[in-house]
Amino acid sequence: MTVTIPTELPAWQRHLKTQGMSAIAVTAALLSILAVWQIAVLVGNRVPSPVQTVERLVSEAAIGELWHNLAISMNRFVLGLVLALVVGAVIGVLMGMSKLADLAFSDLNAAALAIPAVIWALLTTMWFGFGWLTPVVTVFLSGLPFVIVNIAKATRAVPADLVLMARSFGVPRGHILRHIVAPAVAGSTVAAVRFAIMSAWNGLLLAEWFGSTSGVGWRSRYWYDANQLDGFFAWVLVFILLLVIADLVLLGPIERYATRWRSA
Amino acid sequence: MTQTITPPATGAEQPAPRGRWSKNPGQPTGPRQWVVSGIALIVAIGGWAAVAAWVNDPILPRPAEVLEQVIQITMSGEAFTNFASSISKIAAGFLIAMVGGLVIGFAMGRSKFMTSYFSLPLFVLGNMPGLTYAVFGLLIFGVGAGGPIVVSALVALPFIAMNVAEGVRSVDGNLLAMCEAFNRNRRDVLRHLYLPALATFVFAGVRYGFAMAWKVEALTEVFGASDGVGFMIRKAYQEFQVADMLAWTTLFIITMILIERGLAYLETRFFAWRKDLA
Repeated sequence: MTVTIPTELPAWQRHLKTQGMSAIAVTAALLSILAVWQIAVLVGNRVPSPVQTVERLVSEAAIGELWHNLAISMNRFVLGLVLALVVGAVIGVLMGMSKLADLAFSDLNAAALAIPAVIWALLTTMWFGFGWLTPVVTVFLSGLPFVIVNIAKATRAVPADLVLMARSFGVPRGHILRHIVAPAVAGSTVAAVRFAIMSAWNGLLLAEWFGSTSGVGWRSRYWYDANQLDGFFAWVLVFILLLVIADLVLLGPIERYATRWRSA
Repeated sequence: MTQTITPPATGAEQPAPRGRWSKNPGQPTGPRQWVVSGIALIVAIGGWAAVAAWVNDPILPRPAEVLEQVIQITMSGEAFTNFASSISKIAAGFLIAMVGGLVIGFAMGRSKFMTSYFSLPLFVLGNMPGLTYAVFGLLIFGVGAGGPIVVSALVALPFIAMNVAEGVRSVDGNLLAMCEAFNRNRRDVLRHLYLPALATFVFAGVRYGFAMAWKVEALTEVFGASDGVGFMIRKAYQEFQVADMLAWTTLFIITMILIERGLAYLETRFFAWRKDLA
């Protein structure tokens, strides 16, 4: 989405002004979220306060559960996600290049997109039991359809005419990839990764909640089952922080870098 | 922060320029498209049947058994009552989301400060894992209709708000200024300027919000409910009835795709006059 910025001010001043304003707005938003939480503490009788939650998080970190479970989960997450990206990229490129493959896979993929991650989590729990396979397969299956859709879109966005022209003018392969193909596919590829991460993370939590004895999902369930809601809230805080970090710090800048040619 | 929660491309997408590298460009002809995707479906089910025959265990039922279950569930009326219950919960949630989304979206469309203010909460709402929604719904509302309703409202809210904001931004400023110059009252401006501009965007927001809310609503029912599709899936899981669960999943997919196609059809029908969006 393009945000139109008024053009009267010089660039750096404009930048500073919008930066300052959005910093104030984000701070205000954070304060409002905390206020809503505090109100929920007062109204709901079982909701733990922010201070309690942070204290619990610190104690989780102190006894080593935080990093230990995060490491286990990240291991499974990355394994499943990389598998989904590789397989999804192959199918997506096929769909983008051949109409037959497109027709064959698009309806199946639409059905796969409609399956909620919880179904995969429950099915894999019944199939594979409480091993490492359950979360990895769930991550793979819940990320895959999003990768396929977006990679197919990226492949279709390759300007075939430009590639053909470049080839007939004897432009080397590396240059074609760098200057024609890469900018065209970058946007959708980043979208593929983004949606895969969001969906796969959701799948990972569910799979670990239902069918695992380690990992972040299992640990949050542990606190939930023990009826210690401050522990559960502490882990929810971790989940949200991870998402915000993944999006704002990693994917956002990459996306802006990959699509910088659009605003130029 | 220019991030909008771009809805994932679901099922009925607008036909993007297809297969440019293929030998014969142009729209696929109707019958051929059906044949190819039908064959793909049959191959997929055939693969499933082969694996099921090889495993030969109730843990992976054969397609025929699942089909039997689907027919049985549909005939007994269980499917209808549970889907009706789930869909009415989603509809109630969407009413709440629509009111909230219109208010927030208007604020975001008119003021840049509000856009920055709401971007973080909306991002968190739109991307929070379904698990947390489901557990919060269960904790706060218990086993009732309240949890799924509020959860689907919260999930749909960011999509509707973002789209309303886009719609408000798309209103022609010159027309607004002219309305002011000619002393049109607020109602006229809302009715003739904002409503047509917003309708398409709101509809798109509802479509994408629905695809998201549907899944999280079912998940909330898995965690705590006394009826609905999610509850039936949960029941099948607890009784270790894989065939039952796959049958409910099949019905879930079919219903979801039908509703999405229906919404997409309505969208193109209603907004055919807006060629740039249709």
